[in-house]
Amino acid sequence: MKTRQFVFNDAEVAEFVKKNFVSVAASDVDYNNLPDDAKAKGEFQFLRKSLTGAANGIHQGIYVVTPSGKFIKRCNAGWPHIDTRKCHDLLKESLNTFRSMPKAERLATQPLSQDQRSMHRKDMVQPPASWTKIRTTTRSYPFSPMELFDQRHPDYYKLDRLWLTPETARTLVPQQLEVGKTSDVGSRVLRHFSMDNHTMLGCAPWSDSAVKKARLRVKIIAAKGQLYQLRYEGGLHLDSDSRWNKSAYQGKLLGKAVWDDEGEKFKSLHWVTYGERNQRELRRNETRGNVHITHVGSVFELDPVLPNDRGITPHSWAYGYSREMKAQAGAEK
Amino acid sequence: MMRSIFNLMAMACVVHSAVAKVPESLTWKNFDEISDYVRLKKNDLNYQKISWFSTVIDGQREAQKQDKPLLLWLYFGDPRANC
Repeated sequence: MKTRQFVFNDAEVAEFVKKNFVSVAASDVDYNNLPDDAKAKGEFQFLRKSLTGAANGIHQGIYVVTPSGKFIKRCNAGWPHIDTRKCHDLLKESLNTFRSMPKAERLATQPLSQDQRSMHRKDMVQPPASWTKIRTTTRSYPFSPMELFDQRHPDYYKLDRLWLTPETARTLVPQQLEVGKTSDVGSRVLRHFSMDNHTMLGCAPWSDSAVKKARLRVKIIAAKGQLYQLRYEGGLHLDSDSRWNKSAYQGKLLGKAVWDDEGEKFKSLHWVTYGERNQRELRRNETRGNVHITHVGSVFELDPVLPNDRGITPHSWAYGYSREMKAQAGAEK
Repeated sequence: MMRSIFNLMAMACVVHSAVAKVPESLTWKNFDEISDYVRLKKNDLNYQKISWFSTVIDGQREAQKQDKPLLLWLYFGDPRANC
């Protein structure tokens, strides 16, 4: 979150990296947790070899290595306040080091072949065009005192996705398409709304017993041809006292949408939530200070699915989505 | 000097969001105001200008082809999103 915001969202750094590097964004934890047979393959061996020079091996950070597998530099600078300019300088130094190397040193004798793949290609996950793809953005409001380290600082935002099959998306619209008709949205949508942390920062684990209230109602307020204008109102109250999550959220949702019944899809969708987040137990790796209660808003809107979003799934994809959906998205081939 | 200017610019961005007024509740009256506050800002998607590979092997193959250094951005989960 911090490196995205203070390094790669910097316009100069983004341009510099785009022009001069080939870039990989991946999970160090996923690589470290690969089974032994996958670790024996060339891809993992390359990663391990190229990060041998890094202080902690395969660990979170920004690194520059050569295609031959030589470590050049770790390019993180400043913690908890990231020094963007210093990071940029380190990237420039890395590029100079790379360029000063003889070709035989910087390039491999031959590239890795496909049969040396250790990690499943995430970009094979392609949600079908018929699915409703929603992007959620979440941001906290200021509180006092607050530090830039804290993930609740309003300079940070969380992005996530919510994917719905056509059948599930249809439950966001009253069955009977008449102005004035109301209904509760389907249970699958309500479950995502309750459990997937779209309305708050972080990724707290919620159990069924933590859901004190979850309600989302829709009303048709106008119609023009096959286009139906919808209004949503809802509320969510979560309260958990488990070993892994001692926190609560209480908030409200208001939303607008236009359903195109001929195309069987949403023409627009715009939901907003706003609520109070109470983190009774503060985690040192996420927060600073002693402020437990903060206010947080989120926006749900149709995902523009930018070209560079390939392979990015909803955060709860592994456990919060059905096997059928995974098969349809190509994740279980 | 340049670094000081950049730091001041960064601080200005921080101040902008840090002084937002905390709403009492969500209503249809402040629906757009809260939405505008939360929504992505101009620079929030600059990282999208970079073409990210999602696996090391795909990056290595391309870096070898282009004779360019390989940048590895490693983070728990996908560092591009969901955090």
